[in-house]
Amino acid sequence: MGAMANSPNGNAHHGGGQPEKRKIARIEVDRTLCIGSATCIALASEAFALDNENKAVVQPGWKKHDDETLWEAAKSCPVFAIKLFGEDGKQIYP
Amino acid sequence: MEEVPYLIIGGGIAGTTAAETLRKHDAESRIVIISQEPHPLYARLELSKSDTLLGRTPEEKLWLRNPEWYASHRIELYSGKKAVALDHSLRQVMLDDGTALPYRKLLLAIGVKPRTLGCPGEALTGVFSLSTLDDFRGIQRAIQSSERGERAMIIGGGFIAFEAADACRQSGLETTVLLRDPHFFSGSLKDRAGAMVTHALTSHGIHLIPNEGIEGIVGEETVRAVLIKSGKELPADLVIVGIGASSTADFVRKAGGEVRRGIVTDAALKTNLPDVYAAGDCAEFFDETMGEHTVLGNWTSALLQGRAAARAMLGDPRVPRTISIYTTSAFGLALVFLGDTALKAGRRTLDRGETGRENITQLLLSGNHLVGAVLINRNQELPALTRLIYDKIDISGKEQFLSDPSSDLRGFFS
Repeated sequence: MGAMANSPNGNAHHGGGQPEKRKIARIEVDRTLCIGSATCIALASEAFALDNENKAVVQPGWKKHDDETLWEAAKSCPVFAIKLFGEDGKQIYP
Repeated sequence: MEEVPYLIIGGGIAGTTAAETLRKHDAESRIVIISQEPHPLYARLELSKSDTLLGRTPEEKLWLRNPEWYASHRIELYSGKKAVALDHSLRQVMLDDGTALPYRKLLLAIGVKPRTLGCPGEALTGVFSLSTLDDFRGIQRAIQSSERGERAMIIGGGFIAFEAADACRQSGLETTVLLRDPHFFSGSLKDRAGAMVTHALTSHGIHLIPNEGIEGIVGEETVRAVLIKSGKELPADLVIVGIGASSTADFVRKAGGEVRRGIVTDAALKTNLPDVYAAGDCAEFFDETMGEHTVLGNWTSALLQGRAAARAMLGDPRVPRTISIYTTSAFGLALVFLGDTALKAGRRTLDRGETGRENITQLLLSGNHLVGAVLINRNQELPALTRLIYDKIDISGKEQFLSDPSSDLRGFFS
């Protein structure tokens, strides 16, 4: 049920399954995980910027990107630092 | 053997992203990845980070795909195998186990190999390069079994050396860096920015020996010292060599592929051989923004090129234009390398930095345009600089404005 509905092993980024189609209501970056690869910035430059320690931070303009772009940015993070939340407030990725 | 519709040589981020992109748009065709390393995709860019080398980030966090992912996407991964020959008229790749693999479309995402010193003693125990997971494990073991006050010698002046020096220092090793050049990142940084990096390392206790060469590495079975050109023997218990990368594309050249610093491609990542593409560290692609061929050896560029090459293989005529970006942080510095940062003939630099402060942005200009920038503790300027490069904004007559660290670069767009 809920957040893990489409990722039964609770490990969607590692295992199988099709990309999530759920609507993104909120994005968070876990800065303890972020290593500043800047992949998210390259893929969604309105959504992410770097803080003064080269950690990614979510920008107010993130909604300028469509959900597919944001999903791709999140899934391309090499350290799974980008968390996506659905409209019900539950985490939908990773 | 039956023809493989999509054959990918290389299981790193470029090859794997390409496979994933192909599968997204083509649910049916066979996709085969040949990978030299006996592992599924992992986060190579994390191997040199201090958190990873010192075990604060557990190794299991490095895995980006597991066998179930390959199975569920029907991407066939054959690991531990190496491509040794290519015949484009027969449209097949030969592997080191003697297998001949016919292809319809071929992607070369073969990466690069670490450059070696070419001096005696490189094979001694305790001497490492840092390119693969197995290299990483060796260095991690060496650091973990070392005792406080033992000596690490880092050879090189790029990212690997910078990050490895940080990890060694944090582990309590007495850390020395031997540089061929006057300062770190000498392919990108001029004196002022270079001096800032030097100061940051030395103030964190790193012994920096610039303008020095290596005569040999000394020891019986295990490294004991490094012999430098100026004649001294410097004691060392652990040596990490990070002096850049070299091409592994000899077999491509032998097959008639154009190879210079890398496998030459057009903007769509197509090589001069029919239905053969290249992406990632191995590719020397035509960069539409810069108007010239370039090699980008970084994670994000490899990912984007893997995606772009797959789209080209699928027949998508759109050629994406991106700006390279990569960062590193250590010794109190947050560095960002944006666009093309290579110092070469015909380019000039401008420094934006506050005197007496640990920050500078070194702009790289070609003609009337910004082509790249290195930001040191000034990464708030990243969005504006990206736009200046991407939109090819004419900066003629604005050099004084650009040099003033207090000027707001967003002024170009208002």
